[in-house]
Amino acid sequence: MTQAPPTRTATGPRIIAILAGLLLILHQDYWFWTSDILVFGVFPIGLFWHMGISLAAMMVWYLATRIAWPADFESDSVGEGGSFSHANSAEKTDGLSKPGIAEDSF
Amino acid sequence: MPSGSIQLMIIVAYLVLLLALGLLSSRLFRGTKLDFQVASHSIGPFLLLMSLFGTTMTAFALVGSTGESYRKGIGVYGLLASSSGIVHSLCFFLVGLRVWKLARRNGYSTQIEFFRDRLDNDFIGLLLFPILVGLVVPYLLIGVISSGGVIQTMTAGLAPGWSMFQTIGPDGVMNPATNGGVPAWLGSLVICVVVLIYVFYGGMRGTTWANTFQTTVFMVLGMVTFYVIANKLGRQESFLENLRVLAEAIPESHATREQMSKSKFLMYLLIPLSVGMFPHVFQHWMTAKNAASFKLPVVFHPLFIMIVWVPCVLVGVWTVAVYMSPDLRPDGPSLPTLPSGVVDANKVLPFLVKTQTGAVLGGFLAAGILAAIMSSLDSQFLCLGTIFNNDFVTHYFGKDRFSDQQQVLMTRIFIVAIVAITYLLSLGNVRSVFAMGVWCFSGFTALFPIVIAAIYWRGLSAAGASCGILAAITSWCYLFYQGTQVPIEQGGLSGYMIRFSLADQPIEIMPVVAMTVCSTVAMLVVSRITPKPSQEVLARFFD
Repeated sequence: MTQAPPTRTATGPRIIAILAGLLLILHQDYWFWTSDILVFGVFPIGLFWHMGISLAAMMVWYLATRIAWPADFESDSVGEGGSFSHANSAEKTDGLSKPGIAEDSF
Repeated sequence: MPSGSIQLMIIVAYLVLLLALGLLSSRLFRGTKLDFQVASHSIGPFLLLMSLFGTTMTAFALVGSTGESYRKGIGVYGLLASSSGIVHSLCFFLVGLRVWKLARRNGYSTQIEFFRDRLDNDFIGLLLFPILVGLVVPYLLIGVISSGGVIQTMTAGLAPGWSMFQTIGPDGVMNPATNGGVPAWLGSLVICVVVLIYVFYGGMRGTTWANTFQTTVFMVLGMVTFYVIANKLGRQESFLENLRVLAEAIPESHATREQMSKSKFLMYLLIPLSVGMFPHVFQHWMTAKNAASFKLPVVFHPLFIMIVWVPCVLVGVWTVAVYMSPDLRPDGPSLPTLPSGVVDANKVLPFLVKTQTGAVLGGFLAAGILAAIMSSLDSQFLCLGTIFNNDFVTHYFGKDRFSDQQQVLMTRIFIVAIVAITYLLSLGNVRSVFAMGVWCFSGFTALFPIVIAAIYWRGLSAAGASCGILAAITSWCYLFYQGTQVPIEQGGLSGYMIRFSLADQPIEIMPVVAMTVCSTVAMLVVSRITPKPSQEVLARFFD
């Protein structure tokens, strides 16, 4: 996503935790359990409510990428191929590398 | 031209196209093991979104959700779709991102490499290997069974005179919904072979491209299916009018959740946690080019789930409505049934596609359903091979013991063997794809506390993790056995609940809750009293 630099704050993760908890509470919509109201004459209310939960989840996770994204991940300091410093490193850099092949970067 | 022949031609053309894509992507293959297993960590946000979504949306999501909403009503969406929108993204955020960073730093491609290194213990790998493979098999089974059912239903009428293609209903007469179609065993076999070929040729890069292509196909065709079926079933002038007529016809039992238990609805929230321990999802996380690539999947996963599940759930409840209503009941054959005479819920979606759309469109829509199925099978096949190669062959025999070609050959033989076992199991009588999926996901959910502790808790010990895993799988086996003892009339495997009384109050608990509690308690208690990994090891995992 092309976007402005994130504005992670100390309270960001807490806000996201509260919103995610709220979503989980709203998910238990016992108040619509036996309601057969049709929203717009098309969607049973029990389905429509949960479609709303899906959209709200998308918004909460968008907010998470803006205010709660881990600060130590912003630099993306691990480069192509990784800094394979440990046991598995050698076997993974073996091989028949074909230079010049573009990455699937989109 | 016999009925079903056009659909068959389109399905075959689609499979050929997919093979071509697999072969084409093999030209981009860099020839390294790293590229074969994790696409050289080069996958950007869009491909990551599409491949992760395609991998998690299986036959369970399309065929299973339609069938289950046919049986239980609209509550199926809240039961698994909206909860997955919250929980899957949470797992990508809390687990995927961290695991990706640790794996890039320390060079892992599989979960077992991560756990073995994190706990500085070899036994954990030996323990996890058969458990992960064993739990992936039922997941594979869902796809294999569904693909055969889709092809059989869509090609019904193709060769009604061939004894091999004939299906006999419970009353001893031909079942018109499937009779003459390509036998399910043959359809499943062809799908397995096609997926195996493009996975073998393209590796993770080919799988990611095929997943992206197939995810696009099934999302677009899914919406087309919804539009066409709504217009056909509603029989009104406009699309909106059709939606209204069909909505009004849904019986109250299916328009509400009166058939569902509230406590069960709550406990189902645990099921989507399974995504945090799926080995194939883990491997897709490893393909990410950088941490920012995770943002798109984290944000759009809930929306994509909604786009796929809402039409499936509505089609499921509409089916109940129209087949119960004398005014709306479609002409033609009745819904397909199992030998017991019960409606075969797994075939509701392909049946509607077959009977409510034209031959050409029906063929494309069948290809769309198969795309969803295959976009999960491929990742699972590849993941099994990677686990076998990295965690068994290379780990125990050394990377120099066998040549690259020998390793590739052994890996392929292992994958084929697992697929063959799955295929043979698929020939049995599995009544509900949905129930099979829920049991499989329950096993992975029970392992979820282990991965969370491994990432966030310094106090996790190797013995604690091992006991947690053993508790999870032992409780799974015990409860699954208990579930198989429940008669079909009482819900079978999907109806099994742990029942007991507390202060004279009857309590019902889903198996997944018991399994997760068992694994968590065992992990916590044993970790408290056993030695932790050294500070040197912990320093690599906790900044």
